[in-house]
Amino acid sequence: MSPKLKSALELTGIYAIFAFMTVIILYPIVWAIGMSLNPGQSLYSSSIIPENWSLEHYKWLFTDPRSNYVTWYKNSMIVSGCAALFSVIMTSVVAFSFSRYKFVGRTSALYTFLILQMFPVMMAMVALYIFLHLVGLLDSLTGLILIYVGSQIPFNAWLVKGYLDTIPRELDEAARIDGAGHFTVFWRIILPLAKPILAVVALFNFMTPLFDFILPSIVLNSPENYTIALGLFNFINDQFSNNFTRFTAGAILIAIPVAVVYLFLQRYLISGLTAGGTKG
Amino acid sequence: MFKEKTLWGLLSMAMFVLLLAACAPEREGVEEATDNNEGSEGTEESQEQEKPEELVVWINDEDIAEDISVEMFEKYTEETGIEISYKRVALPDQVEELALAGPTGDGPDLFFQPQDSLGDVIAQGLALPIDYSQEEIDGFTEEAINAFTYDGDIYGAPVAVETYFAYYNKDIIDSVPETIDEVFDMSKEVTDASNDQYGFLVSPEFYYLYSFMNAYGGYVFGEEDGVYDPTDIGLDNEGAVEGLTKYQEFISEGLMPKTLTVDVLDGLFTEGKVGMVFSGPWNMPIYKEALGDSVATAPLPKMNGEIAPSFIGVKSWLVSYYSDQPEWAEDIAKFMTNDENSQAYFDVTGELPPKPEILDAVDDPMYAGYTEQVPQGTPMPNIPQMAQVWDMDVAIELINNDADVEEALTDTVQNIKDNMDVSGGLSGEE
Amino acid sequence: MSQHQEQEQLTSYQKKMNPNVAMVLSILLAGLGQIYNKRYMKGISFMILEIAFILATFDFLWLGLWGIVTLGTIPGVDHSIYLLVYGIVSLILIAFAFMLYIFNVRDARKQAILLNNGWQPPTFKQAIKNSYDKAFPYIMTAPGLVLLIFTVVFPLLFAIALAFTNYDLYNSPPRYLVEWIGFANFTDLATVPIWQNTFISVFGWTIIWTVVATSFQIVVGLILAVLVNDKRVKFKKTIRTILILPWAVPGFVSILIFAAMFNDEFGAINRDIIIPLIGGNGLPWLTDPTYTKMVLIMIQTWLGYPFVFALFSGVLQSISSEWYEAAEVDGATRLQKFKNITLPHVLFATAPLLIIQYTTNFNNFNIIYLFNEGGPAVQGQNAGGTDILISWVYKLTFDTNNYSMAAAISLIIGLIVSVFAFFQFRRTNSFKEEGNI
Repeated sequence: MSPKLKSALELTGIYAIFAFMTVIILYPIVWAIGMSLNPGQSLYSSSIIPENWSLEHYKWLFTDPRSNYVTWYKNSMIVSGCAALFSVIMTSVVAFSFSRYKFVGRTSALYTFLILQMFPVMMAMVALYIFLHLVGLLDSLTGLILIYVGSQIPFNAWLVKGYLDTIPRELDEAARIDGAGHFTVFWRIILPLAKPILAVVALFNFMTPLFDFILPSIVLNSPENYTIALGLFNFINDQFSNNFTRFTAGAILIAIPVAVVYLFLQRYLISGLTAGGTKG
Repeated sequence: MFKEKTLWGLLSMAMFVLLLAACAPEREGVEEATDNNEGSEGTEESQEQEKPEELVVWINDEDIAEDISVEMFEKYTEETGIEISYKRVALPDQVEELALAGPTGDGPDLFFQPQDSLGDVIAQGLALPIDYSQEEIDGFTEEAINAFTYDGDIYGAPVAVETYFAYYNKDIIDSVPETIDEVFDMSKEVTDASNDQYGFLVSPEFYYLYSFMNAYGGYVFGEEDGVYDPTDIGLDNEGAVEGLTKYQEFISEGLMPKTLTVDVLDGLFTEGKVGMVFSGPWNMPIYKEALGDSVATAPLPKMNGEIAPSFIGVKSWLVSYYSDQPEWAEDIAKFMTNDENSQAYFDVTGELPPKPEILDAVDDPMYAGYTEQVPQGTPMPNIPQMAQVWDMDVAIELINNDADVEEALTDTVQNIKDNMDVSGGLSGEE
Repeated sequence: MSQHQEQEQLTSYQKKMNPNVAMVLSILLAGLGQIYNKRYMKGISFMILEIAFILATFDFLWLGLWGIVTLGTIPGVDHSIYLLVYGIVSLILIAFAFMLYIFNVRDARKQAILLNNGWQPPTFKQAIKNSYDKAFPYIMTAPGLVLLIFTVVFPLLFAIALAFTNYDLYNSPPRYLVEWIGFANFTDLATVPIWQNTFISVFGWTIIWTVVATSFQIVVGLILAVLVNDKRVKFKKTIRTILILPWAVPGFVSILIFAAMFNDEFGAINRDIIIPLIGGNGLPWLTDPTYTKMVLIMIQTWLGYPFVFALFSGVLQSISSEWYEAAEVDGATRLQKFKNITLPHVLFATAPLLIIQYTTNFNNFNIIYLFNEGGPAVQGQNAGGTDILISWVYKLTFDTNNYSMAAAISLIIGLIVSVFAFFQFRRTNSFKEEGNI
């Protein structure tokens, strides 16, 4: 076999694998879209794209007076946006200290917390509930945001620290000689260079609250404070009346913007993650 | 030196702990901090409570429940001037959320539960008994009051009595099969599984299949003078085995799919593909809308010579232990279950209130199955050990997958007993 | 007093400073030692801090400490769980205070020694600047640390405490009090047959699940990353975009959709694929534990490979082409190049993240619970056939209110995972490098 033919064959094989993967990836997604267009409530009635499809569920989400969908959407945007913003600030500051300064606990603190976080603490949600009540943040988006921001620190700070370690120290030393203070170095030198990894942190912390329904179900009491994941989950969490079709409609509306953001940030995602995660 | 230090440290620690344990007079601080006991103490201190400005009620997370409740709340506000704020909380979540939110003051004054969770509520002490006069008691059916009686106290204002019965599609079967054997024959005739066409479907859950077991002599807990004995479980006796063997024939003959869920069952029935199903009043409006006049109801078919018994559930309003105004909570509970409002509840939801007068007056043929089935039912036990009994679903899943019925039941019941034991349910509560 | 005078005065006193006296004084009341050292500003601020702390928190601390020791004494009035939480919060506050106190005592002693050695205390302004320099990393990490303590450590402490109580349905406030019962939960787990059997079988599947599902994820991610990285492949960007798509769909949504698709009788998989292609009645995806396990692993691979893929793609791009050129000169085959250049680079560089993948899957609650609630049922144990430890814990907590046992099992899970992670992290370079910088 000539090398050229062999190469062509190989290439065909590679494309075949990609085609196969595309089918596997898209099949459930297309199926879900079909489901959301299904006028009934039940999952199992019809074919992939229903014959008498309708936008009734989408219409319900936005126009029905009982629907809180728009409020949930707004809440989720607030929670996710704030969680992303504060996570970036908090994490970059912590990572900067860990990367550039010597202090008590520097060598093992991050790993200790990373490991502590591996303990599952589901039953301790009760404790978080009582604690939030104690500080008056129960049933508030603020309380929820604080928990998200706090619990993301170990992993993300570790990731960002790994990235910062790859930025040559000569840069900040030179700046210091020019009279720059701690904060100037951080703000003017480190932050601009750390953009890719900070984009990753922002993205991660935007997504986690968006998709989480367990914590909000404990912390948030009133339907007008629900986030979108919790609200959607309640559609299908009822004993006798599952509303799967409505659930898929609501889920698709949140999945599309998220997917778009992911795909746009793809470049950052790959470069940031690689540099951060590999030097930890 | 170091040892000495440690010793001193330990000693002072021990002293401190002892001091702490001894110093309970901090109780006032406790009361303030936990902020939860005003309700219960208030009751003892003053019989007449001041009229509160607002009461909080948790209703079921259903549109229809909201509609009817809002209507009643408005009437109540008009009569008494007390504002009602309500929140939709799914029934299965209410107990857990109450336990969490009650002590912080974020809980309701009144909540809504079926009687099978009463045991859980009582075990945790989350509800206060309701004070009923004999006259008020007589207004309800005996079963309804019994369902919410625990240790001699009545804990609920009964709203609706629920059970399941047979729905059938007149387009598929012309006459209702009277016995389970007739159902079987009919099913053999009608079923065409490859086209999703079925003669008879019942959701493979203990709740529904208890009928098969109970008809032949299976029972949940032994009962004496209205007191359940959690150590005596009759779900693996001969009768239970016989009943479920009958059920298993439907599966093994391919007359019912193995992984049926209520979702699928409702979907198929409303599409007009099933002759007969067991289901409850909550589906009446849905089935009617989908099938129109083709749908009718009947009591369950006869098993072992009599109409098969079904589980009876009663749904009630309960007064929260954490309520600041338990008397007013009781007042609105009674208001919402008075004759007029019970009738209104029935008109809107189609669920039957446990009031003899209303039950007798129902003449809609659609309710024939419902009203005839209710007297045949057995109430769901209301002791907390019932929570473990729902694990019977495991046995049913196994039976659906061709397991030996007797073996599956014996194993599962043993498991349930073990689970009751390890969760403290058999060791005597007090 | 002018600065000059103050310094003169200090110099005249400096021989008399006794470090032990300073230390003892600052133990008695924060700041006293500093005042003894003539550092008035510092001393007074320390003093105010301590008094304010005591005044503000004394009632709460006392209640909390009393609560955590007794867990309440009057049922209905004392809510044991609230008291336990107050107790833990008190302990955390005390720990914070204690740390500051130690700093105060050490500071008093150190300064007294320094003063004795003829050290000139800096001016106030200078002192502020010095401590700003020294404290900068602490100031920067402090808010994060406080948040961390309350979101990570505090729930963990609560879970640990619960494991040593009898908190279950029959010992629940407000009706009853919860009590400390020592190691009873752990001994039950080891000796009571139903706990023991369930634990062993669930644990076994948890391990298989973690290893197989995660390894699949990594292998699929790796293969795809290598293929996309092939020089001959065109439309790289589009292909990457498609391959990363499962990551962009909310996980719980995908899982629920898969659950519906795999329903034995009515799901799309059996109806549209298995039955038309193979015939028969379809496969028992949800009713046979073995099939359910296979499906779970497949779904987790679908959900998890994009992350690994993205990671590896980045690393592959960063491997210098010189390596490969050198290898080609030596006449290495493609397999050799992959084995000796690509694989070591990729795995070595990403090891910590891969470890985290394994530990995440070990506790991957969402997929197990949402797909089939841990089912199908199996005879002879009180967990479902595909339950992993964490989903079992969830059931114990929320379905049967057996909080204390759930906490005990959680602790065991945590210990296993953390010991594994600790040794793996140590094996990778991460720990060593850190010391050197």
